[in-house]
Amino acid sequence: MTGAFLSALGGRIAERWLALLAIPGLLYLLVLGTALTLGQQRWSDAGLLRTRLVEVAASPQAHSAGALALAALVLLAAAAAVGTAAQGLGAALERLWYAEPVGPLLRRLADRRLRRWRAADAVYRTALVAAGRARISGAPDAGELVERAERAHADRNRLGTLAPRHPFRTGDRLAAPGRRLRRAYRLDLAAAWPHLWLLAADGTRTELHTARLQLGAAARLCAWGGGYLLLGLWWWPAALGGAAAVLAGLWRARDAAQAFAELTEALAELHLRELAEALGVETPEGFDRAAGERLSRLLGKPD
Amino acid sequence: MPRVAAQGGGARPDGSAAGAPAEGPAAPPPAGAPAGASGTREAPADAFGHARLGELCRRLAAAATGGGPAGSGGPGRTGAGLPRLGAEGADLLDRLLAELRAGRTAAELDDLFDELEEELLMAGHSAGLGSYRSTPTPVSPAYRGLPVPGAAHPDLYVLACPGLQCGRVEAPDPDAERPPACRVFDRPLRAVGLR
Repeated sequence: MTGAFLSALGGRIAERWLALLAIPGLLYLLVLGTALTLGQQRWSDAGLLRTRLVEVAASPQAHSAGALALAALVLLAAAAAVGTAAQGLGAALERLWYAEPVGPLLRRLADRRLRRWRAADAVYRTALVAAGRARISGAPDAGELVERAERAHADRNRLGTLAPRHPFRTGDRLAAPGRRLRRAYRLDLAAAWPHLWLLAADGTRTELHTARLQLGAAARLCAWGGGYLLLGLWWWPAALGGAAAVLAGLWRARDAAQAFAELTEALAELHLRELAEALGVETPEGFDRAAGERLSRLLGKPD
Repeated sequence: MPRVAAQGGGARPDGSAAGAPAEGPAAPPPAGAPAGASGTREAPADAFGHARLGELCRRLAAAATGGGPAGSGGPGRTGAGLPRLGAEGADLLDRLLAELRAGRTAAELDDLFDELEEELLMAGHSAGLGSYRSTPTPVSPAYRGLPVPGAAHPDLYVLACPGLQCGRVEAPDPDAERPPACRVFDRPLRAVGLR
């Protein structure tokens, strides 16, 4: 059984290596070769590509099995290296998305996002008060003012339901459950998270894990897109593909971060009472701020 | 075609040697476990008991709950339950099940298990009665948020004079510990919904 298991494991690793590194890497090398051969001036000259291929096929090295094997080996190694680089770049990008506003550039980005959000929030609050006054006084335009307030509410929430603190939206999305639970229950989610995780069912954990993997995959897609954008310096059609990949990656990252945040908050909301009971924190009036505070103090283990 | 049990020096999917003594009764599938939950994503469930019997049990349960088209055989036959299993395989399965139900232990029926495994392999079940490399159970689609985030009409409200006697109207502060109070009436401001 062990042998079969190892064989299956080996097959899966090879499959993942092929899917994640080798095939995208080979595709990238193919586009790189095309870019270097054609350049910007003759970007669509398929005849030139054909000629080069014929030249390579006619060369004496192309008829040597050893040379061909060596070339295949080098090509595979190069594809794996390119894939590894893209993975590393994707991981770095993912960390950047979560980054705190440290350093002048990131601080400036975070400040810019905060200014935009505050402006939208001010518009919303003004519209809300105007609609409230109209509703209370029974003004004839109350319905229209209420709709305006709702639109302003949606506009602000598109930037974030809470005031931004991170330079990138993904960071704020992922931090939102902690901030919302802190606001609602005075709960320290970071301290409670390992315990909540242990209480969660396997299916819930799988969902969270999937959302997390999707976020990583989106970052890798952005990294590949960046690589193709770079090739655009030599061959502009590559930049088109790169831009499309970056946009798709950003879109997917937004969705994945949102899913992860929603699942995190839902998991916490579903298991908070259970966690309190398990740790002997009484919740006579349901899980409220007092219970959240007691639980956080217990889990935080202050000195 | 050589028997599966003869391959690799008599090794079975559970790693035990052919002809090994009985290992006790087969473990029933865990309560609440999804049918056909074996596959590449989990360790073999039979940490004890007869592994191939456990796998057969799971496959029959999966087939009974819509795991695929039934094999050939007459109506009402359990042997007809496994997908793609031919008439000969179905007969063999029925024979095996009859022996088990008659009280024989799974370990005594290793020959029948070997034959059944061979039939399953011929029918396209790539892992035979092994729990690994079998077709994984389709996973449910991953969670996705609502395509239209937010309600069309969110539950917006304002805070107003508790007696609605003055024009004081405020937007609520979500970070406030408690709603602001009116010093005149000495009561908290009243929440007034917009819809």
